[in-house]
Amino acid sequence: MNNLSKLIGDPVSRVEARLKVTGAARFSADIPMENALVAYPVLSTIGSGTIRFIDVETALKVKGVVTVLTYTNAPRLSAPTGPGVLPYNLLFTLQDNVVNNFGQYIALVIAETFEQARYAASLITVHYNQGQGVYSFHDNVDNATSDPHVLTRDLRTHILRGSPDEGRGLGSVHVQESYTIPYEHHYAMEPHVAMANWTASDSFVVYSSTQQVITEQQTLAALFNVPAANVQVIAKFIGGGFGAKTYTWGHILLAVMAARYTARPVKLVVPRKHLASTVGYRPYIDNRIELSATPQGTLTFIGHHVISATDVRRLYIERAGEVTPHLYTSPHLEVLHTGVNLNMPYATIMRAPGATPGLFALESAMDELANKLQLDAVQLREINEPANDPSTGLPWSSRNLVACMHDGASAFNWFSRNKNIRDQKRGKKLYGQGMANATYPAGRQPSRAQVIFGFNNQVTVRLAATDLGTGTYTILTQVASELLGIPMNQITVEIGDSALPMAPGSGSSIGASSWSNAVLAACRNLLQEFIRLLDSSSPLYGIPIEDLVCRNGSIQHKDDESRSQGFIDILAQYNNSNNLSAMGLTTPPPATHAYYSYGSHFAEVSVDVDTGEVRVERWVARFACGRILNLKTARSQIEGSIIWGIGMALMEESFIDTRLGKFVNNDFGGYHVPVIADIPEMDIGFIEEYDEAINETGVKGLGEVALAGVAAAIANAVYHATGRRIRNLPITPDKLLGV
Amino acid sequence: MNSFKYISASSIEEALVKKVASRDSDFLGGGSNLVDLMKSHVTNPSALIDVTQLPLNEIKPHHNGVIIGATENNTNTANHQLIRHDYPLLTKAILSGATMQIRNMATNAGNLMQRTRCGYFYDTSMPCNKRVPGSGCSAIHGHNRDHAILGASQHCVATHPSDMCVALTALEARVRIRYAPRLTREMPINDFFRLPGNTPHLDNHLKNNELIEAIILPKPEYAKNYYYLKVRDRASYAFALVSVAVGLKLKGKYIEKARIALGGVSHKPWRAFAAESWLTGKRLSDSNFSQAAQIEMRSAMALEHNAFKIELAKQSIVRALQQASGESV
Repeated sequence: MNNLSKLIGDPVSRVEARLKVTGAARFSADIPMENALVAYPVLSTIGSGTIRFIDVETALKVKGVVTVLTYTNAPRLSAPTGPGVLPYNLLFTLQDNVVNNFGQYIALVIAETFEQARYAASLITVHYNQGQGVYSFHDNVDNATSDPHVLTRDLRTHILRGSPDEGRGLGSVHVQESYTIPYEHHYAMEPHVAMANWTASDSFVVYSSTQQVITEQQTLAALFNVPAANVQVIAKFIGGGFGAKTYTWGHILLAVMAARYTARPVKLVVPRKHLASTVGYRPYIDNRIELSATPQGTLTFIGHHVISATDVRRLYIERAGEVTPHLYTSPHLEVLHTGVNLNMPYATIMRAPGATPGLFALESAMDELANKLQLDAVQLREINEPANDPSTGLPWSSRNLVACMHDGASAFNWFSRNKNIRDQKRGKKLYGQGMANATYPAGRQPSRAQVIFGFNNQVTVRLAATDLGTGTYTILTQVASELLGIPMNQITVEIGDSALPMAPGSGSSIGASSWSNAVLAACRNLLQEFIRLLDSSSPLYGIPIEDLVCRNGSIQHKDDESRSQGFIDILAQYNNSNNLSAMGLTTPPPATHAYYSYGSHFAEVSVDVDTGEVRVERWVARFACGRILNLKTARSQIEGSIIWGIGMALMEESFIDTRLGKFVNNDFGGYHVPVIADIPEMDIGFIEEYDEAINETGVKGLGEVALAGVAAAIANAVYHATGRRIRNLPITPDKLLGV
Repeated sequence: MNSFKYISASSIEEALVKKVASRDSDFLGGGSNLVDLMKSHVTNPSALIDVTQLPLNEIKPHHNGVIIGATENNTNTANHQLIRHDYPLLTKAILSGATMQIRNMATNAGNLMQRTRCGYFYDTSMPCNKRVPGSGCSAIHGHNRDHAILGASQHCVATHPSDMCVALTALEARVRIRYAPRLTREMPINDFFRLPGNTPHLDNHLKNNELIEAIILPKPEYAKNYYYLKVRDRASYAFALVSVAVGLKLKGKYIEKARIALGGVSHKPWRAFAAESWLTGKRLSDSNFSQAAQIEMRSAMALEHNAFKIELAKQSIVRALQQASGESV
């Protein structure tokens, strides 16, 4: 059986690139559906209370309007139950008259055209009984509690190692600070969309923009009380999700309800301005970090108290302390997660959840500690490099963080920089350099895959994975090509459909590792199927599978090319057919090691002394993420993460009006993400890493790790440039006036 | 459906007649702001009178200055050789605004007529005196980081979003307005725009039956010593937190004449008369620049989230003066 040969895979361009740049790739909203109606939602304009009366009469009179759904007439949903099923009744939509937050769905206009629906929606008037909402994080931070949460059920909210007081006592240098992350939104370029069509009284299909076709299928089946097999969820192409397209949000329920109610297909594209309150966001987070160390720089205590904003029903808190127990060694540690209940919309996972906000805090605090100790930032981290996972005691499956730091530092000329604070003034600009580390759990989930060998050496790989634009189609084409010895142009990857073999969707950086191992298992099983057909007339007969390789459409003895037979010949000769298929299943075994991806960022910034404007001038980053399946798509993911991190560090912030819990800057005019002019040249590299312990393909995942640490590297560089420590993101000009 | 008439005017006379004939009608230039406002139901015109086919897109010499047609787009205006050569301050200001795509669509008159980007103005679920007179101002006690520090009223704290108009204000441009088929009037741009007072729904003094025909630049005096400084939350494609347009006429090391206007701080581009008059006859020096900035900001008033703009405006005035005078970099 072939192995994947390269630790850093070929930089193959996306196989679907041409479809995308020519507009031929059909995203869910592009799918033509005959006779479809269009829906436009109406959102609540109070932050808390109940609806007394919704006046839809004027809206119903608008030409083309078919109906208006409200809590009074919407189809009822079933409360989902069962192991592994999220209590989605929390996302119930139009089921009662309660308003828990500003911008909650309260009505849906369904019309023949988009313009009719939108106009009619503007004519709906709502009479409320106003409640007493709670909207300000700062005014309520002292009411934070560690009550459980729905989406973070698996989170250990309190982790204690040793004794905090003893740890503090052992140290002589201390950092104790609060680092805050503002409300941030995903705002993927492709809109959130659902197009639903009931094909029978108990079955329907949904073209959705979702990262998870299988869990969406199961969720919808439970909510609408039909067998899961009767629900098909399709998402062939996705224009970014970042976590906001992981869970089945209200608009998807609305589209299915509307299609049932009207007995016609219904298309719902969530308007850009509605996204702020309807598909999640990163909650406001206050990270309270405590570090204690000896004068030599040995950590004696790490404390991380995460106070996250959450909603009144506690769907989600940010697991910002998740990686804290695993990054550096310390005999004493305490991590605590609490949430402040607010009448805010549901928050959710967003782009490297947990580690991203958490490491802004921890890696900023490490920099503060290094400065207090007068130690180099890299050196301090090396001193506290753990031999095994300090939290579980398990050995690392692989950990090349030090190599990332050394390689990055060398490329950046880190050790020869001017170490003095606020000592690099050129013209009106102050320059500074900063570094920070990155880590993210390298997980895996059970996944199936089917591989079909067909006519003319055509291979089809089928599984219910998704491609967010990250390269799923491409890497699975590469993996199957290499394992089967078939050229890439003869391989078709089918994903994005719940009717395909069960697989996780995109999220938590588990895609590449789960799917590549499932495809590996399927390819191995396919080879077995071929071998099973043989009899003694075959030159391959009797050779153990370990000694077989696949080359150029043939199976061969690995050391003897003369013992060879083509796939097609085998089928013709022994099976009288022209196709053969096999399923593969991968299931992660119980953990024997600690599994993490790593990286190290080095940043140079300039700060304008008059205006406080920060520009990132230079970036070097190194990553150790196991086997890299495709250098090009991997690099793109890393670049995307760093760009996102620059946005997080310097500009991203959703402001709320604390009188209502309303997001004020709810469009791209007001919510800033980086433009090209904000982004420097980036020197990105990978450490060659052969991780035998993690899984067969040795893939660890790199979709998210690179975002962690970016904001800290920038904040540390800003401190180095100006002498001013910014602990409240984003680092906007107002915070640097007078430097 | 919220239907509206679309009329492509073939003459100025026709445009004016149609404007008077349809209540609540609007002239349509590039539409880069107006169409957004219509989609959000902030404005619901009964008719759009497209003026982009009118013969108002010329840029040519005029007396000692230049006349700029109302319907020429921002890109062509910024890059016109008369503007680049004689009014580089205007070029720099225009090119710092929006994106290439938007500047290609946006007309010069449309730039003057664009509405504030106050988030509450765009949200029809919230009170806003500019959108619905008398309904109240949501921003004064709401989120107001982007709002005015100069010339605001208890009824409105919105800012004018333009970069181009800040330069035009410093350059003392005049706005030529056609108010009858054969009659025009002109007014200094600083008089064209209004402060909110108790009529925040009115951005300027253009009447319903009037059409902006051109912008007239006086003789060029600041092609050598000028600067447009725009401070924003990212490197491009963001409205100014504070912007400063400066033109200086120097005599050796002395300021013979200074013209300064600020953006992002007021309901209109803010002409810094106090700073200008204090600087007249003064020697070029950081302390004089700083003094001028202090004087100009004496009347500034902060809201809950925008206090930083006062200090930022001061520093930005000093910086823009330094740059314009060739001091420092």
